[in-house]
Order: sequence, then C-alpha cells, then structure tokens
Amino acid sequence: MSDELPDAGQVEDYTQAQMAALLKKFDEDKAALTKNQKAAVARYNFKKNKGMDIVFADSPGAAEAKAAAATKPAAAKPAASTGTSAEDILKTLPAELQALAAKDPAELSKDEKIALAKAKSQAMRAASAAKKAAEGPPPEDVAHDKALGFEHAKHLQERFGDALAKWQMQTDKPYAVVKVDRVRDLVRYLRIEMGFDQIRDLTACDYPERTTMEVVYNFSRHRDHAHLAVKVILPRPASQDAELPEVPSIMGIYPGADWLEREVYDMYGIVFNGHTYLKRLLLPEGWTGWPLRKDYDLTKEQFVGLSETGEDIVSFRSEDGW
Amino acid sequence: MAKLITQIGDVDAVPPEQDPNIILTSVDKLLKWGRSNSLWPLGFGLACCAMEMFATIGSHYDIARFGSEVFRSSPRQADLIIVPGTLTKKMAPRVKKLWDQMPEPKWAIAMGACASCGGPYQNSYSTVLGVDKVLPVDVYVPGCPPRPEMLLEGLMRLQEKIRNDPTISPGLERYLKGSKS
Amino acid sequence: MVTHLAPERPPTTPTHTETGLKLVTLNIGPQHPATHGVLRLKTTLDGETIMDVEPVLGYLHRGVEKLFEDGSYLQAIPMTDRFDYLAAMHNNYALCHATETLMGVTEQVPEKAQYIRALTTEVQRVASHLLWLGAFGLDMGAITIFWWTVREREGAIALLERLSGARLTYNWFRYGGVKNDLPDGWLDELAKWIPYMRDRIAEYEGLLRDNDILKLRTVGVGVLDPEVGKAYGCSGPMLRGSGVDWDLRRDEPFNPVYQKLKWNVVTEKEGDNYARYRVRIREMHESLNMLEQMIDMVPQEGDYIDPKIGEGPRQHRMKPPAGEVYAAIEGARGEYGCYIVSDGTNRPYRLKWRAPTLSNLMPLAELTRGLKIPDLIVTLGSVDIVLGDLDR
Repeated sequence: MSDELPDAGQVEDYTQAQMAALLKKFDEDKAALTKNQKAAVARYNFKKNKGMDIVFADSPGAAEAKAAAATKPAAAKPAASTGTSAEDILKTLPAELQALAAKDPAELSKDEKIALAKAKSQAMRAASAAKKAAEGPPPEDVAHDKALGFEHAKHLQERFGDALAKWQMQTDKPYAVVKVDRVRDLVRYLRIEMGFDQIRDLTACDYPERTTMEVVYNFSRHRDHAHLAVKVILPRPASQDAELPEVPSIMGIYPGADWLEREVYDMYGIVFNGHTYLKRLLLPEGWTGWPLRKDYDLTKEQFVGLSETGEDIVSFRSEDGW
Repeated sequence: MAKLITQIGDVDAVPPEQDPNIILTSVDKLLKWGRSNSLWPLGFGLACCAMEMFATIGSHYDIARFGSEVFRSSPRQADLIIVPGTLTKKMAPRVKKLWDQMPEPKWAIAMGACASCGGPYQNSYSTVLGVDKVLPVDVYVPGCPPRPEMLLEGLMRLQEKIRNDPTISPGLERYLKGSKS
Repeated sequence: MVTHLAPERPPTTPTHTETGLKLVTLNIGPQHPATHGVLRLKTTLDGETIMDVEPVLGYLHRGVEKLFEDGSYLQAIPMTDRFDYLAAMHNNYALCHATETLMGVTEQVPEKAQYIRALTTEVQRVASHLLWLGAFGLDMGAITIFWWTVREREGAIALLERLSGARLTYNWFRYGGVKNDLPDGWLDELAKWIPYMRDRIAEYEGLLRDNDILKLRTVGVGVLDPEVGKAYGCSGPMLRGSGVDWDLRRDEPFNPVYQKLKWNVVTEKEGDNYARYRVRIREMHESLNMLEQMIDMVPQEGDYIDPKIGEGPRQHRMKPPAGEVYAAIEGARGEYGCYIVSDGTNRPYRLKWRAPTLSNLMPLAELTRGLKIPDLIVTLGSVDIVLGDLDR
C-alpha cells in the first residue's frame, strides 16, 4: 500500500504507524519501495542501533526537530573568510569613494570610475597581504634564513653573492645554487680558502617536470664538521639523443670527483669539461642512452658481446651478445 | 660401486674368501665415481652468493669432504663452475669465455636466484636473467643467498646426476646434439 | 647525437719507458682469485713494476638506483642489503637513517630500538672485519688465517641469524626501528661469544702482528697521505689508517647509544697497509668492548620500532615529505650514505647510494705506482672493496 506511505527520506516525515508499515513492507517486498523510502528505513535502523531518540511525525517534539534539521545544512557551511568579501573592501575605502560606489555605475564619470577601481584593487591587495602575513612566512624564506644562519654559508654568500642564486636547506644542511660558469671558482674557494677538505658526494637528479637536471655536490670540513651542499641547475635535453649539458669539472680541485663525475656522465649524460678521462664508468663503453634519466626506454634492451681484441660491443640486436 | 658384478653365468664372480680384496666394476661406473667425487670448482665469485660459497669452503660446512678439495684459479684446470651472483651484460661474454676455456667434462651449478633466473633484478637494464642464457646449467640452487647446506645439496644432486648419466661424455653428447656451448 | 668522445687512455698512463721500450699492459681480472669479486685492473707495467693501474668497473652493475624508483621505501631496504653484502646491516642502517632524517623522526626512534641497532651494527662490523682479515691473508698466501676467520665469522653470523633469520642479507632494519625484538637469550649468547672472540683475535695477532713476512709485505707499502685521502673522499679505516680522526659514530652522531659508551676512535699514523691492518684489528677490539658495555645497558622493556611509523605493511605506504637529504653512517668500510630526493609519494624519486668503496678505491693508482704486482694485490686487499658496493 505504497500510496498510503509518504515518499520521503527522513524518519520525521512518517508517523509511527506509517513507519511500522514501511518496515513490514521492507521485509516483504523491498523492490516496491522508492529510493527515499528505503533511505528512511536505513535511517531508522541506524538510529535504533545507536540508541538515539527517534522522532516521528506525530511525536511531540517533531516540529522542532524538523526545523532543526532544516537549519543544520545552512549552519554547516563554513564561515566565509573575513575581510576579503566585496562589502568589506568597500568599507575600508574613504567616505567619498564609498558614496561613489553606492551610485549607479552608469552615472559616474570616467575619472571617478578609474579612481574607484584603483582604490578597490589597492584595498584588495592590502587585505590579501595582511591575510598572508597572519599565516606566517613562506617555507622557502624560512629555509633561506635558516641556511644563511650557518657561519660558513653566510661567509660564502658575502664572497660569492653574485654567483649564488638561492639558498635552501637540504633537510639539515645548507645548500646554494651556483651558476654554471662559476662552479670552479666557488669550489676552489671552498677547498683552499675555507678548508672544506672532504668531498662527500657528487650526484645528479633529473626533473622532467621542471625541465632541469641538477648536479649536487656535498662537501664537509673535517675540523669543525661543517657541511655544505652546492647545486648546479642545468637545462634538460629534450631527448636521449639531444646535445648534452656541460658543467666544469672539479676533478682538479678534488681528485675524488674523478669517478663520481664519470658515474654522473654514465647515468645522466652530463659532460664535465676539463675532466681528463670522461669515459663511462659502470656501463660498457658502447652503451646507448643515459639510464637514470626519467625518459630512458627500458623496453629497448641492449646486448653486449666481446670483440676479438677484448673490447665490448654493444648493440640492440639480440644475436650480438647478452 | 663395489661388487656390482656378482655373477658370471652360474658362478660367483669373486669367491667368498677373496671378497674383501677384490672389487669388480665397470669402466664407466668407475669413471663416473671418480668424476663425481672429485669435482674441482673454479674460483669464481660474482656477488653476494660468493660469500656463502666462502662459508661452504670454510671448515664449518667444508666442501672438501665432498671432493672439492681445491678451488682452481684457472678455468683450464677446473671441471665445475659454480656461478654465484648476478650475471650482468658486461660480464656475460667473459663468463662465456671462461666456460669455453674449461675442458670437458665440465658441469655448471647456478647458485642463487640471480644466477638461476635473474633474481630480484628482473627490471634492470643491465642484468642477464639467468646464467643459463650463457652456459648450460646442470643444477639450479635457489636462494638469496642459498645457505651453504643448500649449495651442498646442489652439489650432491650434481654428483647424483653425474653418476646416473647414461653417457660417458656429456660434452660429446652436447656437441653431437648441436649445442653451441 | 652524442657530442662527447671519450679519450682512449687516461693521460697519466705512459705508453713507453724513458728509454723507448714499449710498456706491457696486463689485465688482472675480472675473474681472478685476488680481486675480491669481478674487478678488472688494467695495469701498465715496466717489467714487474707498475707504471699505472686503471680499475675498470661495472661487471656487477645491476642498475639498482633505477630499480629504487620503481618500488616503495620499504622495498628499497632489501635491495640495499645486496650492496655491501659483507656488512648488510650497515647498508640497511644507512638507508633507514637517511629516510628518518628526511622525515625528521630521528629523535622518535625508541631507546630499545637504538640499542638493538647499535648491537647489530657492532656485531656486523666484527663479522665484516673478520672476513676482510681472512681475504687479506689469503691475498698474501697466508691461507691459515682465512680458514680461521671464516670459522669465526660463522659464530657472528649465527648471532645475526638468530636475530633476523638470514645469514647474509638480513633485511632487518625498518624505518623508526628494527623489524623485531631481541630473541630471548640472545644477549646471553652474545655475552658468551665476546670473550671467545677476544681469545681468537689474540690468536690471530700472535700469528700476524709481528710476523716478519707480513711486515715486509705491508709496512711502507701503499702509503696514503691524509690530505689526499680526504680529498678523494676516503672514509673509514682507509682514512683512519692515515691518521685522520674521523668517525661518524662520534662526529655525525646517528645513534645516541654511542655517546653513552666508553670507546675510542682508532687511528694509526703511517697510512700504509700495515696501519690499515692494525686499525681494523683494533676496531674489532673496540667493537667487542662496546658490545660488552651495551649488554648491561639494553632496556628490558621498550618498543623495537616507533609506533607512530608502524611496522611492515604500513611502511610500504609511508610517504616522507617532499625534499632532499644526504645522511651517512659509519659502517665497516667507511661512510655509507644516501642522497634521497622525495616527491611526497611512497616511492623515492631519486635514491643515490654513496658507496664508500668507490671513493676508497680511487687513489689506488697513486698508492701503487712504482710498486710490484704482489704489492698491488696486497694494497687492494687493504682497501677492502666489495664489488656490490662499488658497482651497485
């Protein structure tokens, strides 16, 4: 008898008798119920299981409950942020501009319109800046200040300020981005003047989304355990066959950069100018491609064989080797 | 191995009083007994499994009691190659060369997951998935790395294989079948 | 179009003697009993005297740094085991420490977990140095020491097996702690093993320390200048054998337990093979002292892993914050480091393994120029390379 039962989703829309009939119908002939009626049954069962108070259409508190349910969605909407809505901006303008804003736009002269628009945009910018200041400084600036808090970093910034693009933190160590042509000067200064005598690591990373590749150097000083990292950002070649980016080699300053640079060349295809023996370190010499770049095609397998003189022959044909 | 031929016709081949002093066998069984119990491996280690091979050589697990008394440094003097570790593409032609330099009869054990099938490096650009792509493997010993007991089990299986091999020269069989290795 | 052409030979390699005779190029390896794995040394010789050595690497290059980017941080841990397989615990620790530094949770690792980490690190150090000693003697023809140390190593490995279930590649460390708690009775077994090991090391010392042949072969051979060592990025016993007082356990503390123990950083002044041998023997003694102190200090109760990070499967979904980090620990061969670039997902964007043996092996040509081939073999032995770490 579905025409007797209201087609409503909330339990409050049913009287107690109607609810009982609805439940009976649910057990017998579920398919005949509409979506809302099924939802009402589900809500009833939920409330019953949780032990909540169930209010029906004919219960004493029904009217208030319905009113409360109606207002709840409106109250649940988050409070609009203060200070940036159009009315608030208008309130910050001086009195005569407010009067202008109140008038119909067609009546305003051109100068008045321009003045009003300028004032409005200025006020908006001031309001958003105030909002940002309330949130705190952006993380890049925090890291920048933290990096320059290190004594050796500050000294380096004073000496090489023009060559260094930005300072950030490598979690707990400061790093600076240096221009490609000043790498050798900076590293020589680091080793000889500042006494950073240990090269800890030299590696690279490929960022296709930013279309850059970075070479990352890590140095440290033995006497006071100071750490410094240096980065060089290079443009990323468009493909594996494109022209290779170049960086000056620091092999003459830190001999430990020798194999590390060869490995970066091997894996990323970055050429280190001035390296005396830039040959592939880990892969056989005729290998095509730069494996650690993100666009390396792993499906194209290469095969290695041996020539009669004992040199590696690398090819894409499987008959030529393994 | 001893006393395999006990009767020639109706007569006992060896009279009972002579029993402890005479051993009768056939030539190929003698040969196979000798070969299986004196497998001298090549001293060859690629990667981590070589450390478990060292442990097998050590006195606790002692591969010498199985006949592998000496690990030969030169392939020309070895008859077994245990390949422990990952085979990379750069190394593969050299392993083939080592295998070719070993004289017949020779056997190969692929020790570890990397030598059997490539191991954890399936998606790598520079590994060969299994040393059986380079040389014919007789026994595969799985594990990463396999325990020394596992390697010894593999060795014992190889010994069994050698003893039960119907041919006297596995290399000749392979050659006649047209295998390139 | 590759625009770079590699030169044919290193410019330091001469081709002729001063008198005009052609020099011999001798290939040692990649299969060679004394190269500790598949390392190829292209030596240029004048008779038996070495003019230059060019190590050729890559015969065990498995491309693991590319594989790291395919799996999660948890899946990277067992892959690191296979780098320096003689000290697999140290590899695990380096990765876990670097990731924890990136996440900023190094302080949150529970105390018991730090103790378990320190215990396993020191037991592993002893085990690694034992096998080094065996191989070192083997290279010189002192085969007895090889049998003895391999037998002793079984004892250390049995301890680590009791702990982690595996003999060589343990996969034991997790982010925020270790995989499991100490088994019952493990500390007692350790307490019994330490004096036994001390006696054994005394036995080896008796055989080797004042041995004339050893001294003739190692004293004054392969001398590494400390400044050169630092500039090459050498670390560990290689650098400490030249007198440089640098140990990350003290200088870049990655485990607070080391601050609570009484121990010394072992250095020797001369920088030759004998000094490096002495450094490693003394380091074994220091490690045993540390283990003895730690047995009494390990807390009975405590978490073995940081509960906020969670165990096992939760670590598979663990997402470190975006950023980069370089962090290192002091392992058996030196500085094991990781440079991690994270993009905020549960897979590393870039995980570079800083191999200690790569930097340690670089000065080989400088160390052995003018020496004979057997000296090269002994020097290579004292550098203590492991190919899995060199080639990755």
